[in-house]
Amino acid sequence: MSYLRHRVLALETPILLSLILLLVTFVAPSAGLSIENRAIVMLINVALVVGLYSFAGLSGVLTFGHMSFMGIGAYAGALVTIPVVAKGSLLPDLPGFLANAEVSLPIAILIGGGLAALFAAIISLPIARLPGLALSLAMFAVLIICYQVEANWDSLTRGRQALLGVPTNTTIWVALATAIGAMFVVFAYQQSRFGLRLRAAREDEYSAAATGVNIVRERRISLVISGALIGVVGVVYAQYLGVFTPNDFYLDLTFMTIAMLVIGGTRSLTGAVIGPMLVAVLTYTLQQGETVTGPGLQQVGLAIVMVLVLVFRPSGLTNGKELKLSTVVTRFRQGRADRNGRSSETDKAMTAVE
Amino acid sequence: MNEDSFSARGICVHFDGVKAVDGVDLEIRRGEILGLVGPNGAGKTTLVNALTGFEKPTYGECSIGDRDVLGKPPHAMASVGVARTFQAGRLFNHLTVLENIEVAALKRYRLRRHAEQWAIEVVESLKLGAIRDRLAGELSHGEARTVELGRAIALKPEFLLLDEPAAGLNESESDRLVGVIAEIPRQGGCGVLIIEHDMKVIMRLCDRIHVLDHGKSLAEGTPEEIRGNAAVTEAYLGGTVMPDA
Ligand SMILES: Nc1ncnc2c1ncn2[C@@H]1O[C@H](COP(=O)(O)OP(=O)(O)OP(=O)(O)O)[C@@H](O)[C@H]1O
Ligand SMILES: [Mg+2]
Repeated sequence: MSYLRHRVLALETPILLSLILLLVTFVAPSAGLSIENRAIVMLINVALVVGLYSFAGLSGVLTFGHMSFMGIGAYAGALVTIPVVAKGSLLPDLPGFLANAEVSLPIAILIGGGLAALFAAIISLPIARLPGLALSLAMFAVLIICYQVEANWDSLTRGRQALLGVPTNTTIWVALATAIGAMFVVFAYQQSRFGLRLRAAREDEYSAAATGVNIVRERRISLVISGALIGVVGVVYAQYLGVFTPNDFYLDLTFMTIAMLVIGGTRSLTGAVIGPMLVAVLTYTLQQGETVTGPGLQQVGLAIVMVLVLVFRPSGLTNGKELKLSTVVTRFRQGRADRNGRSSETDKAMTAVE
Repeated sequence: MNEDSFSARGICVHFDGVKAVDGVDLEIRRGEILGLVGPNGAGKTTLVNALTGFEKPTYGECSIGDRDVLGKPPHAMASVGVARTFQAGRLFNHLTVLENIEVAALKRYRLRRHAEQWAIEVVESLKLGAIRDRLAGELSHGEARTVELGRAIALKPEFLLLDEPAAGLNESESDRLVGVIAEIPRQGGCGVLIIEHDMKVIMRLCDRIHVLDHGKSLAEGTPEEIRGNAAVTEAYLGGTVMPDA
């Protein structure tokens, strides 16, 4: 197989996943506004969890702090898009360059993503050096710091009060584009030399080091990429909400996104995509149930499902496998060949062993 | 000092109180195979850890040619041409055989495309073609050890340190692996250090042998000299006669 063909074929996973999301985007609006809004949130969650996966999944180090990048993206994106007139009354003490800024969504995405990437690069200097669990906890500390800054820097964020007046530019198509974009970026990264080295370090740090992998450097790269992506998702999410507070990027979201990744499977991009989709369906069902049981069922149900997955299928539903048409087709063909009595060589070997 | 050798002088590794390695001088020359032998707990693995950046020596010097390499982290040792394998056997379990070897190849070729080509060459030369797309975690013990050796070879090292590469292999697997190891110095003049308990293998494979006991060097010499060394026979082999080469 030529190298090029090999690489194009390898793209089938993000292409297939994109088609699934495209289908959702086409169908959901016809089921009413409430379903369309759920679909938008689901697509944003896909982008978000794919961003989380580009660090946690590929490096094998869980992170409790990546939602801080989302907050940075959301506030940065909002502050440069809220109409100048509205900012005058909402945030009278804003520094001049921000008070007069009013840019389009693409520019806001660049600003929010860039700022989150810069922040990720800076914190990665000390944090990427830490071993696994310490890194997870340090990221949690980063989350707390970001939350407190957002909740108390009144002149910039209105503190605990909601920041409002954010233009709601995020349609279902914007959400779809964000999810698909995130998937392709992360897939390219995963298959790149950087992604391969990072995955090697996830599997065995000693072997990776002996094989010349600079683990700190690879984790640093991963932090910046995931930070940028999640920052972008923050911008897009804020432009969906229109109104938000620091709590929107704090513990609930941290738990939700980790649960989605764990349920889908931390070791494949496919897992990072189907996790949020399954959780969307689950949450919807549980919320219907809440009318009977009262509030809380949604969180409790999700937590129970996560524990069940951890117990019975620790690598998540995908168990490290990617969605691929070729494997499905091969299996199908193999099955047919067997039924026709032409067993493949491996089957012969298996029979011989038995 | 020899330009083409990896030499260590006065290496000590002390773990609060335990002198695992205690003042060892050792030289791996390019193009030769050096055997490192000694009873269990002699400090062989600890010495290899110290030479490859996995353990910081308490004292000692370590250099390649006239370049000081002591205290470099493991990945930097790989960069200067020092590769190793592990006694317990360690692979990237959820990566394929080819990907395992490609990680090493990336140290020599910047682009994945080129690294993959080199990895395929290594896979073919070790006759692993049939299993190259299998996950490393699903391999038999014999296959896994061959892949681990292949991963080290794919780094194109100038010095290769093997910690009991044939441990747990049956006779035919072990023969095959020893055959591969014997060829390594002939391709590009790599210097090999091998830790191995089977003296037959050591006698057959090695140009020189270094004997370690209780963290100290007991003897060093050609297989002939070591076989004739009374101290080694006494202390290390407890009086049993060394097998013929
Ligand atoms: N991290 C450590 N902390 C404390 N003691 C250690 C440590 N690592 C090794 N040792 C001790 O150092 C000594 C040498 O161990 P080492 O593993 O180097 O021996 P070895 O020659 O490789 O033995 P074997 O043939 O069994 O592999 C042993 O007594 C061991 O208990
Ligand atoms: Mg040992």
